[in-house]
Amino acid sequence: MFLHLLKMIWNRKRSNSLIIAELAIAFIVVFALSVLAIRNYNLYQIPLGYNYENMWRIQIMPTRSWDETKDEDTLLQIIGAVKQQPEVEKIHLLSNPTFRNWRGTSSVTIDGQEIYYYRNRFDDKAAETFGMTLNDGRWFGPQDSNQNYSPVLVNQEFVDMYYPNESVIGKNIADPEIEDNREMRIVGVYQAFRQFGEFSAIVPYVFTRSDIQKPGRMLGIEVKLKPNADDSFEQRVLEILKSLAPENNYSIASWESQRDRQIRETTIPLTIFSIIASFLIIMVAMGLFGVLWQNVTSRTHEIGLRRALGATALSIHKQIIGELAIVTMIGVSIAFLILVQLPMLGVFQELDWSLFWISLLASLVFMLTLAGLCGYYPGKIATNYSPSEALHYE
Amino acid sequence: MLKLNNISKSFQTDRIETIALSNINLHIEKGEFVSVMGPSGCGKSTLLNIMGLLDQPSEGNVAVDDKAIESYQDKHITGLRNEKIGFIFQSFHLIHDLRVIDNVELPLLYRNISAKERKALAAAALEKVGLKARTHHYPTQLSGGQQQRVAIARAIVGKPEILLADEPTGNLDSHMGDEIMKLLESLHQEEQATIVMVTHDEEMAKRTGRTIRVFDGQLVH
Repeated sequence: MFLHLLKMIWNRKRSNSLIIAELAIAFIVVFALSVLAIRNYNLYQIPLGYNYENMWRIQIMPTRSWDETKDEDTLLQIIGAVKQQPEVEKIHLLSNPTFRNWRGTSSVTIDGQEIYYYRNRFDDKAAETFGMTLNDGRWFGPQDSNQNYSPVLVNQEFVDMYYPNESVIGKNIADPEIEDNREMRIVGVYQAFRQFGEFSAIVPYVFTRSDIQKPGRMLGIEVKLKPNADDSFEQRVLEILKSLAPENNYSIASWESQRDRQIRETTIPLTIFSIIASFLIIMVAMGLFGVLWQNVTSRTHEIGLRRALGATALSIHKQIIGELAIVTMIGVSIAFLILVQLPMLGVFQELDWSLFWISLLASLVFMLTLAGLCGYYPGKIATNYSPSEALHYE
Repeated sequence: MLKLNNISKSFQTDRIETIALSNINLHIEKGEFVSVMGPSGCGKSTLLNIMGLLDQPSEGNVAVDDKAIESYQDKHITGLRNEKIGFIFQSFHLIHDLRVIDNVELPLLYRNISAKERKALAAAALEKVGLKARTHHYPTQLSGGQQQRVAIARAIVGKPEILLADEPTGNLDSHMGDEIMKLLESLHQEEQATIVMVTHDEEMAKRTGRTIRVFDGQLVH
């Protein structure tokens, strides 16, 4: 029977080509949606690598050019004043804030290998306050002061990507092409610090050390508040900052609120795309349903004939669903030939083979279900006629 | 072989009930060639549909090989149709997207027969109707007479016990009609096929062994 169905589809290739094209396009849309949904779901499941509860960031925004000596003193005064607030448990410096797309990147070539990473700076003990996990080595500490090297911490992704199955502690990742470049010695490996939030890709990430006693131009102050801190903290700190350095602008925001904002910024476009894609799929489903209805109606004589020759109502229904499943698979195969080029050619870095196959499987299940639902009712109608009615249908 | 006992058939529409057949009693013996005649709308085709189990009577029952069909369950009925009855229709009812040989093997698709055996049986049936050379043609590439021969090959491919032909020459000119009639006659004489044929043509009816006349849904003796 399968070969018979294939023969029927092949001989009706002209009338089937439109449905096949429609199914191929729908499959590509469903695949794109699956890739986005599965990728973001997978990313969301990966731990951030730090805690955002009770964390606040005070961002200082100077309105004039920075004066190294004078402004560093003001910064120290600000740090001291904030630290004295009763709600404040800990205070640290962090160059690029969490849940924002502020980024610094570096690229160096070491032993012929190009190493590309994101970088950030924080002070001693910041990692512990943020709740980060150390995999190897140690955090920054006083032993790193007044040394002839700059200590750095790298994340596990950095190790896995550039030095798999190798101990990196003590490695120098300074750019060898820059003369007299200060050694950048890896002193520790931490699990993760996903600065850009839950929906961001895992990237190689490096921390350099800053000193809270000599903050330089570190304009981001991270504050950990005690649990159940008073709501008045924000306003009170803002008044203190304005009184200490009225020439600057300030923003104070909790990491949690920044996280919420970033999630919204990621999910809103996704939701809009999903709605548009859903409409498209509904249109395709309606089109498919209409085409199938017309297709079944135009074949009423054939259905009556098959019933007269010995086909049961069930076998007719199976035939209609079977034909549709084969047509769907042909459409999917055409779409597959197009889509498989993406991971092969590396068009999208994020679309690796594992994500490709999972999304392909999810899209296939969806399309077969959709085709099955669209074919079920016209198939049912076709079997409702008695053979003599179907043979005399006009 | 085929018995119709007190068969009545009526069609109900919104307002009126049309009686197509009334109290028909009929017995078709094995090896008979019977023609059914009557004016248009008298119930000939309805009678043939009921004999072929394509339609259910409103009253009475049909017995095949002395076994009355009581339940008319789909699986049971389709099995009987597939194995015991071959149909020939006025408008041929060939599937135009399938080649001649694929059309002929259609009834065998619903039996547990291998593809190879199906092909062999279909080829043999086509040879019997003189269309071996047209095996791989499509129906639209054939004349009306040839199309009806394909339909006859399809009707006989499963070696049914009875052939039911609903005006098999109705869509053909007299020459082609005569060819088809000769083919039915040879099937009857050489293979002892049991044939019931609905026709309008008195000359065709005369060539059969028995003629049943239907008028206003009743048999006329």
